[in-house]
Amino acid sequence: MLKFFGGIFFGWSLGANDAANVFGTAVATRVVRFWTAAILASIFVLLGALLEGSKCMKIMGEIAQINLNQTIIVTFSAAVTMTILTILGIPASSSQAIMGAILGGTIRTQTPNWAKFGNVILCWVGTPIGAAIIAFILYHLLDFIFKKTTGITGAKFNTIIRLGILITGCMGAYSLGANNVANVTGIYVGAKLLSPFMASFIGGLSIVVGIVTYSYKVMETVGLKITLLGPLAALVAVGSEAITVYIYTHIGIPVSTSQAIVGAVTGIGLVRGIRAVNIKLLNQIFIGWLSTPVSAGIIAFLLSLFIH
Amino acid sequence: MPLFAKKESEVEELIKAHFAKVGETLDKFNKFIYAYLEKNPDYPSLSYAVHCAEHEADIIRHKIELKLYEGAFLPIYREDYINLIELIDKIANRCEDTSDIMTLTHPEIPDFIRQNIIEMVNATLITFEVTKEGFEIFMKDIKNVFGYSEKISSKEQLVDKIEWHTLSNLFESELELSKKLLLKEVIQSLGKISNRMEDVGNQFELIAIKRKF
Repeated sequence: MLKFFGGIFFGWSLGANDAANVFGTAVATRVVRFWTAAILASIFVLLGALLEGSKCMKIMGEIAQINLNQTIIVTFSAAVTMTILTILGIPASSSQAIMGAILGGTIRTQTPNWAKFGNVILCWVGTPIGAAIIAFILYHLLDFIFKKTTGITGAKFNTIIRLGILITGCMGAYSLGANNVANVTGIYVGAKLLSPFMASFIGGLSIVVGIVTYSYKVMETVGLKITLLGPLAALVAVGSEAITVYIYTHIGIPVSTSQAIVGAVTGIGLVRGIRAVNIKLLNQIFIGWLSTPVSAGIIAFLLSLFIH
Repeated sequence: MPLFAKKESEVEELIKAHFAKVGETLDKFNKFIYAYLEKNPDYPSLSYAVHCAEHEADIIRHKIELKLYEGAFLPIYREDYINLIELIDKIANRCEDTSDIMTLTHPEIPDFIRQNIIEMVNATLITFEVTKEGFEIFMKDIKNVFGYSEKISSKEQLVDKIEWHTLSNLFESELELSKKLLLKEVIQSLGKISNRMEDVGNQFELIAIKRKF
């Protein structure tokens, strides 16, 4: 069980942080209470992990050949990086942490598959851009539908928003489980320590524990920030994030839900005019692209040096 | 939709009932003013009728607020509805205040401003008709309410104009200062009824804007 400790710890930190990106809006707008959100998020994360989680696991074994010792180093380094960066307030991505750790933990003994890694980087860059484009389209589409639909009373509008926020939250949780469970336990599949199903199950459960035990505060703060856009725009942001992350699940690359939502918010900002785009948030993405994989890589490299 | 929005639909029904009661208060106020101007001895009972209608509007407002605090509508929208009903309620409050001032102080209305007061009341009723039209559209389809703030405002300006002329005539007259000041209070109180309607129109648009992207 000790060999899976790093992965489980990593899953816990992912659940604690990233559930906010999918259910933060619902909690902050009081569409649902925290416990309802936590239960719904847990169900859909687990469903996503079990039904489609294996799709992104393949890439973990393709970047580098990993043995038992390396899995421990890699998962532990990624988890420590995530925790430190979160404490420091620097946005961290679990996908980027695990990839950086794989490179750092294996580069001493083998040459990584740079072509595959290049594809992964392209997807990282593509995540916020894709989310921005989807948000831009979704925003205009919903705006058009609302303008064309007659008889929207206050009560109906309220119901549409409630249901919309709840549905996009569940979609987002499903995508989070389907895409990000590979970050948590995908490496054990590559190292032939777990079957894809067991990896999805253990990874999904560890994310669920993170959601249930430690996501409340992040949900409140992140949710409130997104909701400042207005409930309709928040709905579009979460929906776009869910769609983007789901698309990357089918491509087979784990991506960052945090960066997807920042991209979606930027897309909405672009609809409102360039002045509405938050440059600070965009800078955070660039810092995240560099800081997360580099930090995880350095920690994994130093640990592998120390152990060997 | 009512299956998912039972509380919200109930609040909407109560808001409609509240608006109707405010309209009834204004109607009773109109009858009171005419009775007062015609020196009809029944005017105190008509003033009491204004007071009763306003009180009934208050009871409905209280029910709406309770329903809202019990969880109807998302918290982000709840405040909008509370503000809206309070603004609508102020129309009835102003009617009650004006009738109270007149009933308690019995100001003598000189002939040279009598017609102006009738015109002010009529213009106030017209402003309320436009407000009612805006309210009905607001309750049917929020997004179509845009433009009503301006429509209500343009009608309200007519009341302001008459009010200004009336006050001007009043202070140019030879009446005693104490009578002038008392009448000034009555005229200004009357003018404030349509000002509250203008506030309601602005709130319609504010709510509609907040429901846009």
